[in-house]
Amino acid sequence: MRGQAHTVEAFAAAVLVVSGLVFATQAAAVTPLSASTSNQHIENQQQATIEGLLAASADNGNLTEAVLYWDTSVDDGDGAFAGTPDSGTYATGPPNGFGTDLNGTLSSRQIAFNVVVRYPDGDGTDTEPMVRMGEPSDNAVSATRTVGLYDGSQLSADGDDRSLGELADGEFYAPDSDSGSQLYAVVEVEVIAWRK
Amino acid sequence: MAQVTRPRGGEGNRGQMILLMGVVLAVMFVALALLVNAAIYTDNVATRGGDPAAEALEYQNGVVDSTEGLIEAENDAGNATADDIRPALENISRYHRQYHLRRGAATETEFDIYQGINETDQDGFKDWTANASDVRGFVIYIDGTRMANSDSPFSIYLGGTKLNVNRTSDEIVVEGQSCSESVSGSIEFNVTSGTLGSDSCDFDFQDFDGGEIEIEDGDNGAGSYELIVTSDENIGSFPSPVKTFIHSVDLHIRIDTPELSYARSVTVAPEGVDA
Repeated sequence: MRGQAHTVEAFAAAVLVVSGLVFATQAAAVTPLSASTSNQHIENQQQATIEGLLAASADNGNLTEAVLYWDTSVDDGDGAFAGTPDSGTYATGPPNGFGTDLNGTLSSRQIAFNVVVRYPDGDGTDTEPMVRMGEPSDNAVSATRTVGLYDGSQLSADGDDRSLGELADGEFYAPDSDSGSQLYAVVEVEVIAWRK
Repeated sequence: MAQVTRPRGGEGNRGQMILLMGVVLAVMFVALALLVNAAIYTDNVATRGGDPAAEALEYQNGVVDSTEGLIEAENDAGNATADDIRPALENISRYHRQYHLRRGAATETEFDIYQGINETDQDGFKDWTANASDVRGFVIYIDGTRMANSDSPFSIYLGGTKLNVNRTSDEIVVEGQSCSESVSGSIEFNVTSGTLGSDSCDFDFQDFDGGEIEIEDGDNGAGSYELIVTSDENIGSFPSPVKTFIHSVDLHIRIDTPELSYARSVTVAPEGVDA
């Protein structure tokens, strides 16, 4: 009888020890994919990366080129970003300098991203999606950068070098929000990034 | 249940000791887990949200870049005035306010516009009148070799002050202001600093406190000039080839986010930004 009792006590002790070990390792687990506060550093790094990417692209003109990379003839005349499939959005970085920046900085590090262009429309704003890789995860981060467009800004897609001031209403996704001056619109590019 | 009294031989309490050690170890592991977790959590909370200045810097860069592009576009279009870009600057401010409000940041931009007036390489200036609240950088490069040697000066009105610039046989003089310079192809008459070449004139430009500024009998002059004007009203119209342009814009930006308040004045000029 005593031997049985000792055996049961030994099992109970073993279960306690193992449970303690499992709890300790689970509670303190830090992995890049942990859906907890543990990956905050990863988010901070991604945030800084896309902020830097947008700043660099704005400085070297790639961002302006990207928002003007518009083909007015597709989608039954409504237009779409040049070279996009029927969905009207790219599934990876667009085929221009900004896309090269995105692919080189984010895709090569297994970071997925969406890119949205926001523009003034009447008293509010509207959006034109540029890149869509999927639904962002709970740990996605975003950064934005504004770009000034002017009546003399030329479309950057191949075969069309018209300026925004020469386009008819509705040919470009953003309407002329300041017809009295050389300002056409101020658009905001937002990049949303998350780990695949 | 195990025997709790000391058994014969002293070996009966081994199970209790094992159980006790199990509990002690479990408590130690839990304590260790809490300690490590607290350290990680504190670190995460301390670094959460990235750089709070990012929103403010993004706002500043966006407004400055948009304004710089606007000035260049308006100047390229020709004869830009403050009235042309004032509504556009207000729109730039409004659009940025809309974008940043989505992220809980309140923004505001006020601005001062500096307009330029110039005429280059002319054999005789055009006559004009401008309304100005302030003038700076008014410099005329007089081509004395192309001015007639006669008693027929060209005149500059600054508020109530009239300056007659004339050519005598071998000198360019500002009449009655005790300054002259030998005739040459390029004599710098700095109206705002009151110097003709290396000579100081008697008039004091600081006396000008706004009003009309005018060039009269400009046909008698020759060379180039440029001046920077600020005005709260329409500065006026100018005959060709006199050109107006946007010299610079002072932006006074302010942004309030939940983390910080940021205010800064930035001068935006077509050739660069003086941040």
